[in-house]
Amino acid sequence: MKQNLKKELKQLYSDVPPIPDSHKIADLMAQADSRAPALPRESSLLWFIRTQIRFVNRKFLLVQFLLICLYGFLTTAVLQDNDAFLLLVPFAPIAVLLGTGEFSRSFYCNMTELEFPSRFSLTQILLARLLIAAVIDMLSLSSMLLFTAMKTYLTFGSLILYGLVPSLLAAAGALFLINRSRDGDARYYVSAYCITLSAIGAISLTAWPAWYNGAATAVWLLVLAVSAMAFAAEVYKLLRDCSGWLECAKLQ
Amino acid sequence: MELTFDRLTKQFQNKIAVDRFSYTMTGGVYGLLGANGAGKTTLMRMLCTVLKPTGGEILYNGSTIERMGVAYRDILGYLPQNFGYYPDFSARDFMLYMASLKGIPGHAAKRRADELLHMVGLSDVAGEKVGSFSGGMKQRLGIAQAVLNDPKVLVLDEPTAGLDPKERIRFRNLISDLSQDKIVVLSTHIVSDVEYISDQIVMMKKGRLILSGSPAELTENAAGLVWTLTVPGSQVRLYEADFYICNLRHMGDMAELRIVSEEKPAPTAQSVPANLEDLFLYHFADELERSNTHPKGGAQQ
Repeated sequence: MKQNLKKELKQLYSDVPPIPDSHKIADLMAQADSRAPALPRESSLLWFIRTQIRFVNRKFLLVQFLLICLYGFLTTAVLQDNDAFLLLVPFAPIAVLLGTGEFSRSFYCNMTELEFPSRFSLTQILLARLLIAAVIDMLSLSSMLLFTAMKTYLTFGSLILYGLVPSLLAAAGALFLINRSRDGDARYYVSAYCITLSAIGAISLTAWPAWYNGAATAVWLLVLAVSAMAFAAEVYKLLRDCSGWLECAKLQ
Repeated sequence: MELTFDRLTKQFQNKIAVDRFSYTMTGGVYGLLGANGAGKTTLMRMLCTVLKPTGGEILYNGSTIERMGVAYRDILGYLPQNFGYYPDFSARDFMLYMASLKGIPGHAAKRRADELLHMVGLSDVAGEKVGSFSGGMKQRLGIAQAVLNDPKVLVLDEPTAGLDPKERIRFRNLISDLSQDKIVVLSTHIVSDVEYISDQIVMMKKGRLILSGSPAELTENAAGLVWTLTVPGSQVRLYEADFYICNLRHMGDMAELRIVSEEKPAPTAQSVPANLEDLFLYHFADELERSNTHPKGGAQQ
């Protein structure tokens, strides 16, 4: 029995492979690493924009929704017919204000430095956020227009003007301020600007009713064109400054 | 794997933050030591493509990181000194968001995020908001996101600042675990954070590289700079006025001083082996806060 045990132990020992040469261990590890599956990567901007939708602040969506509900309630249940358009001009900048808060949160949440060295450049990150915020703002504005259209005699074209002009003015001004500050204070400037614009819009309805006559349509169209060009210019400036090397944010 | 800094310079208006910094790194942990304002953070920001150099360049395996673009950022992991978070994000959301920025899709991102949250000890709180985390937990989350893409170059800027000793040790051990087959650049002004885990120490002062080498090499070269001396307690102030004192220990009426000086401070002083903290003080004492006046010993400008 002892002999058998010895024999079996010898057999077992000879079956075990030799300990690898320590010099070869590094090679073996490198080979193992090279065989390990690499992390998959995506580089499509469209994929990136789709993934960012999931990370939109739910509070932003909720507040937009509540804003539309409030607008709808006031327009359909509180205001008299034909007065419904009165809310469109002051409410439109508020929807844009919410959108710019979502879009520029990298700056005021101090996340820019973490986001910079990513596969997707800051230009692409801001572009994705801008597109998402713009789509949500447009949906809000469209809802407001529909509510208003149900309760007013004004043509849909006029309503679009009264909704789009304050929205574009708010967006262009907000981007102007963000482009020049790019830090946590930007949201205060933007908030002050959009609320002021909203207040002017509300006051103008009673103080300057002539603004809303048919004769003033040409002026509205001119302001629309100017604000659209200003918005485009500010978007271009934002994305241009963030391309390549990234010193566009105020780092702490 | 080689990272080369070639006469790297960064100037902000009238201030030169990094001044013709040249150095080469291969695999391992590099501790970047320097007092506040030495240029460490600026150097790291340039390394991570956050800032553009005013002069010089950084090369990875012979190619400039600017030209490499996305290919370089794919192998880069970065933990900044001060980083924020989106208040509505949980730890898992944060990791998944950072994974999306690094181009890691769906299932792979979830798997990797869970794996890393477990590694840094945050899997139990993965669903909680980042705003509720302690400083140590946020730093651990920060390092988890830095290694999401399994980077070859890992840059950690003052990762242990503000952490208690237990968290700092935990963090050091984590860095050691993660440093295999990577270039890890770790900046700090806390000597003990790098002394035990760094393969090489790089000392910066006023934007320049002043010293580099392994901890053992540096302390060996500092032989003859550190002295111990026992003096009456009443004479301590005299020595404080003339020398840099690394350590002061009162023993009744007497006091034991540990002095950094090129000259022997007193006939009864005994030379002792230097450690990295002594060396740090020797080079940076003029930049550190002092309560007394002119030192006699210390680094020459």
